[in-house]
Amino acid sequence: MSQTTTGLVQLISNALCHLRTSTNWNADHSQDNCVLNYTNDKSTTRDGAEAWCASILNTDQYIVAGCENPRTFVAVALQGRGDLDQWVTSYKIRYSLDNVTWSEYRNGAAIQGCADRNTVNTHYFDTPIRARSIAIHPLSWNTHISLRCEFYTKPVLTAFTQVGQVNSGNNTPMLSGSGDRNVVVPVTFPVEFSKVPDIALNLQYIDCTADSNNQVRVKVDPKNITTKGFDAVFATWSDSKAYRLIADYSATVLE
Amino acid sequence: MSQSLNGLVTLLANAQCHLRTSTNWDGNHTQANSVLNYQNSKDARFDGSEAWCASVVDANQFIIAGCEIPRTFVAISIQGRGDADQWVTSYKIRYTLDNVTWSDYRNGAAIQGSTDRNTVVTHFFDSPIRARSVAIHPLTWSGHVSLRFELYTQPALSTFTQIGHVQSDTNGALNAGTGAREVVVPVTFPVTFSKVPEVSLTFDLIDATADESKQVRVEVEARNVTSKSFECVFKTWWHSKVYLLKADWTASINE
Repeated sequence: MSQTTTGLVQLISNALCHLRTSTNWNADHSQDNCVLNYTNDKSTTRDGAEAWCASILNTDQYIVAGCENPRTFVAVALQGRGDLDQWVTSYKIRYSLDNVTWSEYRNGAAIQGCADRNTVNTHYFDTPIRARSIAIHPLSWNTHISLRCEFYTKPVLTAFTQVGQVNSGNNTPMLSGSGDRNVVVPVTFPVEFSKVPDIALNLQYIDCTADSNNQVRVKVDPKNITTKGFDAVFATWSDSKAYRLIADYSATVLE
Repeated sequence: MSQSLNGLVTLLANAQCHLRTSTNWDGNHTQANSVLNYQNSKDARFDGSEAWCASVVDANQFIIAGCEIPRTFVAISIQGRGDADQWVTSYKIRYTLDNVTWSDYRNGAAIQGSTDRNTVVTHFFDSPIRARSVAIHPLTWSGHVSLRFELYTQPALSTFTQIGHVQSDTNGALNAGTGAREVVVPVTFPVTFSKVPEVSLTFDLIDATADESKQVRVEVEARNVTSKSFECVFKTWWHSKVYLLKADWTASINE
């Protein structure tokens, strides 16, 4: 089954990660030029290499991509230098989720790299890697340690949550009578959400009276939910009564 | 009591922060070479300095490390330049949590820095600093304003939360009979979690009949929780009965 990078996030292209290298040939051969398919005017003397190029040629060189939020890394793509015959022929991958302990992908085994300047060589990880930081360690190369690269991750959702409490009060329409009775208590979020949130609104205090059939009926619902707030609707129905209800809400946006 | 860096995150080494400097001597003397113990060929004319080096030598220079996610900064290490006799002999620290208001650590008092090229001088903050951005401001130096450094933070956790709603059947198995009775409703999370979440499951509607002893018994429980789903189990027991229960769930992970 062939895999695809369609729908995945390109980390370097989207400026979503910080890049650190072991060494750079000089400022014009840095990680600034390492994104896949990077091309400039091909005059290295002025605007630099079409690749990250290390300054020391040994197997201690690496480029680290770091994200502050954990990501699910699906694939890595490698390419040679665009303006000279230099490329990495094999490499290994290391990664860390907690940024304290680092792990070796495939126990440090070599992954096949490039054989020319421009062909993109994409490696799909055996299973997606959950990490914050990930590093390419070149193991063998043609002429020089130079590469362009990209990391592909699943899209990330960020959660923003606010929690609060709302009280029906006592002496409300729920206290007497019969049929559908409710009391509406407006709630304003401490901070306005960037879009309409999902709300969990649940009872943490119930003081109610069962009717002549021993039937207890209480509920609370959020209505008219906007980015700024909602109405907490406390209710009872039929012949039941409620003296006081208190609810907690948890509102979350994923984007 | 001696303090330890064990278990802390090394921010620069893990590419977890963005770095901005007041000035750089040139493109080969930048923050890209500023991580603790940074080494290259030792020929600075070729691949740059083993340090960040400012271009203006006065007490207005600084290097800022910025993270999008707030972190608890425990310590800072400072080191001289590896390929020339230049080091910062004292510095102060400034920091901000909201990236609007900046604060002076120890009211701007000088912290002892380096006295040679390579000895690592570590300062543990009086109490850990909660911040998104932290800046080193060199106050005195030998030779030049040049340094290598590292910032140590407690590991950061990211929260991912989803919310949903679930209900029992109406007038179902819970509304007849006696003894322990339950209704199982499978729930699939909109987005699969990266690991098994904690699930909070609470009522927002209770329509129940007390038994002959006026006993109301209702329970809802999350069972068989996986990263993709869980079972919502509504229960009653003994002689109580339940016409309808509705619940909201909140599922959350920290990683």
